[in-house]
Amino acid sequence: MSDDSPTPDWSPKKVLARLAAESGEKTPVSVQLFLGDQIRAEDIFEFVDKAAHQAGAALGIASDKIHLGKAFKLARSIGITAPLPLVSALMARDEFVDILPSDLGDVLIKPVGRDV
Amino acid sequence: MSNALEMTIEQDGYAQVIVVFADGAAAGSTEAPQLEKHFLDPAITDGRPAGAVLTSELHEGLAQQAEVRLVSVATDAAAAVEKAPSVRVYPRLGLALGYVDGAGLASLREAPGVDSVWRAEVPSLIRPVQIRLSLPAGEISWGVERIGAPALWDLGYLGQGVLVGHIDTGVDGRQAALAGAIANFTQFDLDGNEVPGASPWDSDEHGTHTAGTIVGRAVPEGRFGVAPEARLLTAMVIEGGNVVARILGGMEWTVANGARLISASLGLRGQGGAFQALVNSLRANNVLPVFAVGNEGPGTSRFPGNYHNVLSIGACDRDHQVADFSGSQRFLKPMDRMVPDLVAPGVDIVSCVPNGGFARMSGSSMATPHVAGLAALLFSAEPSATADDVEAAIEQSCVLPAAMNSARGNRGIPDASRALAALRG
Repeated sequence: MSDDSPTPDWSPKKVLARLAAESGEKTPVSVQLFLGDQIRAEDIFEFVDKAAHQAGAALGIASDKIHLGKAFKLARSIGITAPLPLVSALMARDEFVDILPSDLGDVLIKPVGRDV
Repeated sequence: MSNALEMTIEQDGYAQVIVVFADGAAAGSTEAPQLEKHFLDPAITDGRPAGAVLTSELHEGLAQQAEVRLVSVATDAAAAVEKAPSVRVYPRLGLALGYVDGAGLASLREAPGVDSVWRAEVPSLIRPVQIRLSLPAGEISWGVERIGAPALWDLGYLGQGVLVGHIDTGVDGRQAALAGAIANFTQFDLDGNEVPGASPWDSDEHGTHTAGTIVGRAVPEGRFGVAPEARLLTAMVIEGGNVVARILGGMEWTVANGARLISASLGLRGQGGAFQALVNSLRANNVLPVFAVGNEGPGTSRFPGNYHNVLSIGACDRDHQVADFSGSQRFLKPMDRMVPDLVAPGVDIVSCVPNGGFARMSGSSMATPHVAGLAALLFSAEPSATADDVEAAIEQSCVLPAAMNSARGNRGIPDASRALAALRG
């Protein structure tokens, strides 16, 4: 997911909007979700797994369309690949505080000059 | 799988992709010829003769790790031109890298053993010309001198016993200047899971360069390592695919392995809170995050390098001026503060690169490892010091040169002797 502006807006609302602009309703999107303190770090995977499948059931999204990645305790984060409506439903919950697209360029800060 | 991939192919006619193999399929997928039919000759990207790319433009680390060997082309420029394979397979990572067009993408997605296909964002570094230095033996780089590291060396503090987390493109374990300097190394698959058995290598050259600045040992070509007896915990991050998971995995790995600080020259442009919990956890674990502010100039910064609880680093030159490219930004909410916290040498920085070479680079990426090395010196001088203690000492040691604009350089440039005095204050 690209945004070449000098200061992209990384608010969850804008990230979801950019994902929506780039993906259809059924195309799976891969994102990294970040959770708040109300969920214990040790419980992140189980919590998100349950929340995602609950949302999937409500939205009519099959379980095999939902793929969870590894949970990172220090970062309070987990990756998920799923249709965008499901991701949006998760982000509507208080427990989910931030989101980043998994497919990001321009992360490593490149050197600006060279010399001999 | 991203729509951005289709958009890239629509715009350019092709795109570089990372192929993720299904669980258990990676081993069988190392038979590159079975995959090649889906891929384009990489030379298409530059209009060069079919099959030819300049050696200098290849990712050396990737080329060395790939199971597919490069085949020399018999031309007058055979020494400089090699045939590149259409696809490179990385069995331990469970992925492959190559260029596809629309038809290739469609067939690749249906290929046996392929789980998903991502647009690749292989770092597009402005590659420095590698140089063989001819400095007098033992000459110390200007950056190391500028922050006063030799004064602490003379007191016997060289970073011994300190583990430095290093999140970058990797590190070349064969570099003489890094002999004994790599305590541990890891790389991660696309889900952020550690790849077992990885040995130190650099997917580019950025990581080896920053590693050299932090812990480079004295070599005949010079002394450019700030803390030449500290050791690295290097977690390799390759852009593309699920890069965020790899960054998070790398950070957690360094903490789990005992890093006292983390040096990271990465971040996303602008402001965002996604990494705040991670940084809070680093601080709670007594780990000092030393992060680059970015290279987009005044009025810009990157996160997490612009968070309030990291040591945010910009770049200055030999003339005590903040480099034009160095990021700087003032925030009014929730508190009035500015980044970077300080600046360090980041222009014309000589350090090592893969395959025994040396290069001169500029960027806040080059400034950050100077400060990371300084922190390592201080931890070796006062092993019981906390991350907060070392951060405060470094900040207090800074001097704003008369020629430097505080709106760009904030506190100015740190000094090792002053920092040690402040730490022992």
